[in-house]
Amino acid sequence: MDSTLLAFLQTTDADERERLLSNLILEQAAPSVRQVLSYRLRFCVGKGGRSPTNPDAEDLYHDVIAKLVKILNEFQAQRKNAGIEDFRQYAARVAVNACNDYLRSKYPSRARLKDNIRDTLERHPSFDIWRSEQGETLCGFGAWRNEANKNSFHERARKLEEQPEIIRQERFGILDSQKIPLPKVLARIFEWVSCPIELDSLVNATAVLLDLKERQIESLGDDSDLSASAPSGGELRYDEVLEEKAALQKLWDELRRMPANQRQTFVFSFENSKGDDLLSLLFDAGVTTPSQMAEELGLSLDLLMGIWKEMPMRNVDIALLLGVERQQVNKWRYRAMKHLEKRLLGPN
Amino acid sequence: MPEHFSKSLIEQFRDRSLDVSTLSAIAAHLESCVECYELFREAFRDKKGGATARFTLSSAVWLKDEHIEYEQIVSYVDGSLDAEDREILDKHIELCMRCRDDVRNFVAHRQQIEPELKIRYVPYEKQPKWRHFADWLEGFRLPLKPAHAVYTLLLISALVAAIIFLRRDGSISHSGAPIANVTPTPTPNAPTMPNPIPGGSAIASQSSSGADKSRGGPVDRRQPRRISLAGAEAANWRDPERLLVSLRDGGRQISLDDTGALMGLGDLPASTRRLVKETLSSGEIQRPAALDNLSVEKGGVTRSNFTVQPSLKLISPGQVVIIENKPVFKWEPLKGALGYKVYIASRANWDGLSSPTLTPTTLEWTPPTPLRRGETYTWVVSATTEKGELTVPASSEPERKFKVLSERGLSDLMRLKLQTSSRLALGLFYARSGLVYEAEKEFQLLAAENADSTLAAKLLKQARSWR
Repeated sequence: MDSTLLAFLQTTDADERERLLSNLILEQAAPSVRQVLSYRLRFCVGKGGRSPTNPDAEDLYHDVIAKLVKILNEFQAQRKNAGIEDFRQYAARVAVNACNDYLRSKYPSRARLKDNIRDTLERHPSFDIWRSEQGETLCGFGAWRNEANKNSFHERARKLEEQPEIIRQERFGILDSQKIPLPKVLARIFEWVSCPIELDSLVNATAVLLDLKERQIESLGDDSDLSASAPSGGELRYDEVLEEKAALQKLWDELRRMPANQRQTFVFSFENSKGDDLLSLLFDAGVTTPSQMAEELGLSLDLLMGIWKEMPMRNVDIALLLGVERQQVNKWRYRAMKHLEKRLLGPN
Repeated sequence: MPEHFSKSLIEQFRDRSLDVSTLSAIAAHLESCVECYELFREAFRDKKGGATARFTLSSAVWLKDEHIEYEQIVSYVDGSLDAEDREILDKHIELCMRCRDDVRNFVAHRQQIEPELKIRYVPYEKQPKWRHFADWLEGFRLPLKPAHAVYTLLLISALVAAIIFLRRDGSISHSGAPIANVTPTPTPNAPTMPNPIPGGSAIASQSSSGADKSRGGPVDRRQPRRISLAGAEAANWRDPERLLVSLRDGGRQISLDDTGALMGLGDLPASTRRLVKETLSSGEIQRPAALDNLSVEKGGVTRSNFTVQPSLKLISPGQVVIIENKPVFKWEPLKGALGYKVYIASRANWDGLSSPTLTPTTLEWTPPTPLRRGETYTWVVSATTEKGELTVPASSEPERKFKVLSERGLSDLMRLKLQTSSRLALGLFYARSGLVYEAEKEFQLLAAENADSTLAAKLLKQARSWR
């Protein structure tokens, strides 16, 4: 494991902890994050986290850094690292995920094109997609995979990466995606570039060739893009309210009967209509104390207090905390909800 | 540690704005100090305000933010998710338009590239011109003597003459393009293969199975060949004489040949493909067991004090499976009715619900709460008249029963609708589930598209007969 990370997790001295945290974030994570943002999104962020011309870049950078600080603090409180061997790589992965989320919400058409391209590369017998030793997602003709180690990155691949529009100028013009099937478009790009390329490069080039346009209806942080069609009245049959104190007691009794993972997931993510967390509510109502809750959750009081600062947590953050996939957390939370629906609201 | 904490510190504790060790110390203190604990409660309530806080147990609230990732979309469309994962995704998709569009787009993409998976593309190995010449020279490792040069020139002349002769004769077809493209005979609905890529691009050839990503041996660039059938969808160039049945279906052509190979529906899950094949082979559909359970039975109690039944007819739902869990109950008006009341009861446990007394002009009613999915219900309408109460159906009449499509059935249907626009596949799904009216509608469209098909007409007739 990373020696600085190990030292950070083991230290009990507050000053030393701060120093090591700064080192991990500023010396290790920040350069990786800046690199990923620059490579994935061409976002230029300075050393101080500033990007005067691009507020999105600044926001994204600081979001990733804040997330990493939070994760490190939680690991420190638990004295565990959830299997992080290389913190730089871990930070890069968190940044890549943040970039993907950003692209998906800001550019849904591009995200869909990327899904389609990935699927084509995975299913079409002529193509392949693989990870390089450097952790890049490369793709190309299947026959190129075995040659990938030669690292035969071509001048054209570099050009394509830096300036995807070049593909149109070179020879293709705009293709009618309705007439030319995606595999054929990919084959044409691969032919031109003559060597494996990064998936994102391919997606950018394909988007240029297909003249992909985003509908200007979405913006970051705007929930309207979700267009969550409100569930019909009938579907809200479980969306009933419970009076606070008696309900909290019943809720806590039920939670104690649940498997530990479901209990943790529910408690960490709980939020009432006013944004209150469950620990505050239960403590205020005299249902349980922080120490009792820590014991029920199998945590130390310190760790619970560390998590409490972050409550209510999103599933993705709970997944990072528990070292599991987000889908697993979704399942635990879903099971917990169903259990509670059944026990607290009855069959109707 | 002080004896008591100040109010401002307690407020900071409430706001969780202190460091972890201070939070722990205060939390431990509050558990044993009544005064400070009361201070915390006061501070917490100040923050909360007067109204009672509430919370929801509806998973929809948080599921709407759990957007689907690429791997999940693939598993969802492939049908490889376990029941719980699928349920979670179904709920999210129901709530999130963006993810719903993502899935739809992905399904459309799958349909589009299905025929393309049979085409093989390989890299064109470009070599500099001088390299070809150098390679050619490699063959002449002998010392270049004048005699050898003469022999070589003679040989080249002979070859050139032979080529010119043969080209005139038309016996050699020569392509100037560096690579070849073979277009398999398309199915009537399959997209036509575009022309070879200008300037030398990929080879369009063949593959034993489009769905399998097989990386076989080297591809013959000049002589792509058709290979033996390995799967139904690979056979897009099949002999039309071997087709047992062929139908136009939602803009595509589907067919079944005498080897049992089904073409044109590669986007369907295996179970639905099986159902389609069985139907196309047998030419008929089985009446679903769900309808048998809804068939007419005698009621057990007398519900009317009339000796002669005046006309009050129930319209819907009845004797079928329905998709909605809050169906609209409809009936025809009864002359002289002063009001109506609808009673619904579960056939499983006779749990029921009823409408309030409805005005004489109200001829439909929707229950305020949803009915349980997968359950069979029976319903009656009670009309109040000056002569007394009339309940229909009467005890002497068949019960009016219906079943609400199960959760599983609903999620299968949602997935199928996302995956295909095939009238036949959807019609068969509806028919198998006992969704008679929906099946009839799909078969009607199929029959309209295939006016000359006895099979399409027969399917429609069968579905109609179940009403």
